[in-house]
Amino acid sequence: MNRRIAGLLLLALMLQGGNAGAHRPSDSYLVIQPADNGYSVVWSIAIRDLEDVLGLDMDGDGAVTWGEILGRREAITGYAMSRFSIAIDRAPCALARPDVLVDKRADGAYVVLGFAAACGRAGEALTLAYGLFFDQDAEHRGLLALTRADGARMAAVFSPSAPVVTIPLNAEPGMRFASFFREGLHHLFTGYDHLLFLALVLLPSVLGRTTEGWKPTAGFWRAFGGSAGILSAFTVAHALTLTSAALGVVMLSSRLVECAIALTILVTAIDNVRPFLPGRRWQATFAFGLVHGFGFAATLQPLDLPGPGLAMALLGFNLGIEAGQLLMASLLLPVVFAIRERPVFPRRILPIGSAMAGLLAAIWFAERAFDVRLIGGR
Amino acid sequence: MIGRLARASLPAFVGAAWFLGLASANPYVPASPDDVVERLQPSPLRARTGVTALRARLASVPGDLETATSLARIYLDAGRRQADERYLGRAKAVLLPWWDAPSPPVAVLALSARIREAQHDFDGALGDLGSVLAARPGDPNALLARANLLELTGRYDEAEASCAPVARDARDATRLVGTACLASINSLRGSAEGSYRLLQSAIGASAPPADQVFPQTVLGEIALRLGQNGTAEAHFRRARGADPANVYATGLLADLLLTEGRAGEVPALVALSPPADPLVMRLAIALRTEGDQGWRALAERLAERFEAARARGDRPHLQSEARFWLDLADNPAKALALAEENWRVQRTPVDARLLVRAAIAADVPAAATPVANWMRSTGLEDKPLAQLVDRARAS
Repeated sequence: MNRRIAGLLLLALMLQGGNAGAHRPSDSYLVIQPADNGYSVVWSIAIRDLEDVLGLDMDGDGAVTWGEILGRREAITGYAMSRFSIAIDRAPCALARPDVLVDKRADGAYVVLGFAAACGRAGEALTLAYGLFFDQDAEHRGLLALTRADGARMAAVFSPSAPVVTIPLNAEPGMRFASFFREGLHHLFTGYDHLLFLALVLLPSVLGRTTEGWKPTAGFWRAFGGSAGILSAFTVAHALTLTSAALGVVMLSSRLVECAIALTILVTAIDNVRPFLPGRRWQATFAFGLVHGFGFAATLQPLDLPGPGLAMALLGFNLGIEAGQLLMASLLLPVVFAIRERPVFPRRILPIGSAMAGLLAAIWFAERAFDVRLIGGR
Repeated sequence: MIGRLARASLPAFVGAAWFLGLASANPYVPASPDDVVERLQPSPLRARTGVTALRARLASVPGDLETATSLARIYLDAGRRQADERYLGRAKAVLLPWWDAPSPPVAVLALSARIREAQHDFDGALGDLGSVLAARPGDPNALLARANLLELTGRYDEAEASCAPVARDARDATRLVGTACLASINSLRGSAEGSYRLLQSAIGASAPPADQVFPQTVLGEIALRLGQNGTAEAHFRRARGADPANVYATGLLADLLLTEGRAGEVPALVALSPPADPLVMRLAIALRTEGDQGWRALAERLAERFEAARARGDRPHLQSEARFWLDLADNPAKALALAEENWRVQRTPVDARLLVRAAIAADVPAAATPVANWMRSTGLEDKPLAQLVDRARAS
């Protein structure tokens, strides 16, 4: 990542790629917790940032003492407090005069302002506005960790493009749920390999494996139970691995996962043509579902997930995938049910369809395992 | 995909992993007014240099392009020298009146390209440089910066086209950098030795030290790939001799020492350089190799920085993070996932070695295949990498 660039010609021409940050970019930290009649705020601001704006090092010796901070106490609190506000439903909270402390962090010392915000705790929404240093440093961020009165923890970042954060006080994290639900749905329908796998396991779900190959299951409800069982096994399995991968419990090479997914399709296709997998069909589907869960999680990098309402986000994503599956099943199964008793289904449609799917999966597998491009698509 | 979604629809909300760390602040009241709470690094903002005057002028004449670009340039140079990311934001703040304009002035674009590249927004930086070059077709700085980005992302033909005119420049110093740029690219695709000889003779004996930093680094990188560690070391040391604060060359030298089992020499090497993250990482690895428990504190600091960057919503530094999980956090599976993600963004031999090492450590040799194919298609001569690929194949 540190890549040289040939920058200024007449100076030393080596230029460190940008991540050279011994000192990371400037952040301040706001920790807000419910308190009597409102909230308590602990705000940590880097001394070196204050120094650049206010000049704390009065004697210019390069060292900032506690005495120098106390001497500029009014300037510091005045500068900071005029750039931060909290309101509940647009009624501003009264901010008390802050206590001033210091704190050592990994990247230097911080002035810590501790103060109460009096405004009650009820209302529709809490609105926080932040403008510290933005005029001086376009990459400054205010990192907010807020605990609501109901105990829910929220995290947010103030930036020049998002200087105001609104936190609903009662509302559900329904918005997050909805957006992740959509994302799950979208992911299922743009991931052809998941759809193909699903089709392969659903096709013979109305059949039973016998020694002479696939035979139609007698009775509608037994066949229906077979399909539902297959679908549930797949669902439970991928929900398990998706969740553990999204939480960062397990992390696998995406290449490995992609190859394995292609293999599950190939194996299932072969099993459709000539049953060979041991055990019941739902058991194999469950095992393969574990693999597909990692695939679903591949786009869901663990640290990208928003922390507050993580559970809602995951649930939304999972249910979005489920909804997509049910949709797919509700399109495919009526057709399969209608033709399941016809001999052409087990003799022609199932083996030919499966063989084509298996061929596609074999190509995908080769592409993914050997990093070659044989056909278009994923 | 979710990252994009989270940023698009829920811009303010980010991971809460740092929530706990953040909340665990431990503020105190110092015992005495004489207690020193912070030691400041030298800063152009405090030195009574022209910066104070520039800031004052900009405050009285907001929107003065000349003043703003001078100030931004000073910030960016200070940030590079001190390896301090804070200056990126300061430079950007100064340029803000023009930042989102439909067609910013060329002087602003040249600087915003530097900022964007530093923040790993390679496409954004290439866009800025394209605009700069549209207005000033032969601008050598822009051509070289673009060539570097194109090389980094593996687009060698375009990179070569970008540095070729610089290698024909009338000025000696400019021509030398252009030649180094060409040598660097061509050494990656089948003519390592020829490129080395060409650049070696172009440097000659007369080039002033400041002009030698980049060419010497390129020579060192080529020698390293040819398996000539002694020669590479000499070149890296010459580059550092000309610019002791140079983080990139220092990092290469530290890596060379680490692979040669000379970890004991790394602390002294790094001590003279700015405390940049990439060097902190090498130091931590060296201390660990030497059995010095000090590495743990450094590793924690790095982990905290990665977390903080993610919390801010910055682009992650995938190469660094992958190496961290591989060499310091002992989680090869995670390292491999990150190295694969990194490989999609940037493709240098360093990124390639990292990916193969991670694949071997994670026991997923197949994950090294893209690198093997890349080596074949580019004709890259890189002995250490070839050995790693063979190891991956054998396992």
